Amino acid sequence: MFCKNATEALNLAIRGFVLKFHEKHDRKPRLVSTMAEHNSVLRPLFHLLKENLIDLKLAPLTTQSTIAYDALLLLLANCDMAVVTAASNVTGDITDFELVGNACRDAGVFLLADASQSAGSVEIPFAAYGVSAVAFTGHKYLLGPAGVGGLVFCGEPPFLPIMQGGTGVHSQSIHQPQQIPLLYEAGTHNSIGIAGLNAALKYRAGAEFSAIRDKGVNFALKLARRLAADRKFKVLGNPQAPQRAPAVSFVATGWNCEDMGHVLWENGGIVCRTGLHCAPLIHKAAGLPEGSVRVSFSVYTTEPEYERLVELLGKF
Amino acid sequence: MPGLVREIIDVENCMDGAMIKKYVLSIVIDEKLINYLSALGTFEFHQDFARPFFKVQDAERFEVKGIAGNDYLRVVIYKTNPEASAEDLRLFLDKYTEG
Repeated sequence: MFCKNATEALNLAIRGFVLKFHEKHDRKPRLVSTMAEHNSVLRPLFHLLKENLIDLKLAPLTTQSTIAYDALLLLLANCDMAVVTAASNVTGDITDFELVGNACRDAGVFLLADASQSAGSVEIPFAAYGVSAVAFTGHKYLLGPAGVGGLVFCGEPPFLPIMQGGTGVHSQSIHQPQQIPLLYEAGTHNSIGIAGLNAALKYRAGAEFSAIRDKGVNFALKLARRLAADRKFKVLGNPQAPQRAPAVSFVATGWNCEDMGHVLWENGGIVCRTGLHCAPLIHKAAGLPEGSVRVSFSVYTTEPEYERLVELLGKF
Repeated sequence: MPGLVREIIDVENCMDGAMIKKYVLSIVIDEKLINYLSALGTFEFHQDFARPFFKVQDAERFEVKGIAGNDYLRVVIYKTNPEASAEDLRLFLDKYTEG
């Protein structure tokens, strides 16, 4: 179903699952997530925890800021729903969904993947891995406009709608239609955004795009390895990973991240994000309360732009 | 004669509690002004960059940073007496004389 962004899709799936669970059971659902999540997952979860509607456990991270899979698998063996990022918006690390998905399938756990960073940049066969639902946004690597995202799921969704309203059909009824997607899609859609996303997907399917599709990821792979080889930098996540989303976060000895961002912009016209990137727990676990510098690449990043970045980073 | 500080603008930041302000100046930052600012505290000047970056920290009051050639300073005001610290910096800058 379409939503206005991944945050709305995640809220719908998480809260809707919890409401449905309470309808069917006389105990709170046990939810599991990880410390690598974005606030679009953490905040809905902690809000539900505050409302005393769920039990919540977060899998820790390794010293390299990657998910500690041993701990996550233990938690998955005893939960009802898991919400896990497909690729970290901080490190670019891709989650091992074959491992996580199989564990959830074996344990009968509803697995929701946050594909905000992976959709359009990395192919993950979610259905084959037993993932129950996937939340995505259109405006990142899918190349669509801002304001459109959605939730994809297999089979009957085990969640209640969290909004009711007009659908343009079955208007004689004062109750929400029960057909999917109408049950979950109340109100006027962002038709222009959806049309824009459709156009972007058609463009992505063409020959022009296939020639550049891996450019952003390749720049990120190259930069992560280069910075990891330089003792002045600390790269968050696994810089040697064979595949990643096209983002790299790092800190440099003797510099705070905000100053680095300022210098990169003023000296190279390089726009990067500095701070916590809406992912406070991954930085807390890494001992970086002020955050990191994050550089993201696109399919339109050029070799001279990459070289300019590398040259500037060499001066820190 | 108007002072050096033309405008002070609040800047949004993703960290709670950090008060960040942009001090827009009536002149472009040059080496003389950077030297004047260095008297405020611990000074760093990174001249390896084509557009050099400088930072001066007063451990009690604020952190002032900027780029040579720009017409503004980025200032982090610390939590103790932030209004007084912001005003102290404005007065210090307005005492600066060119030439």
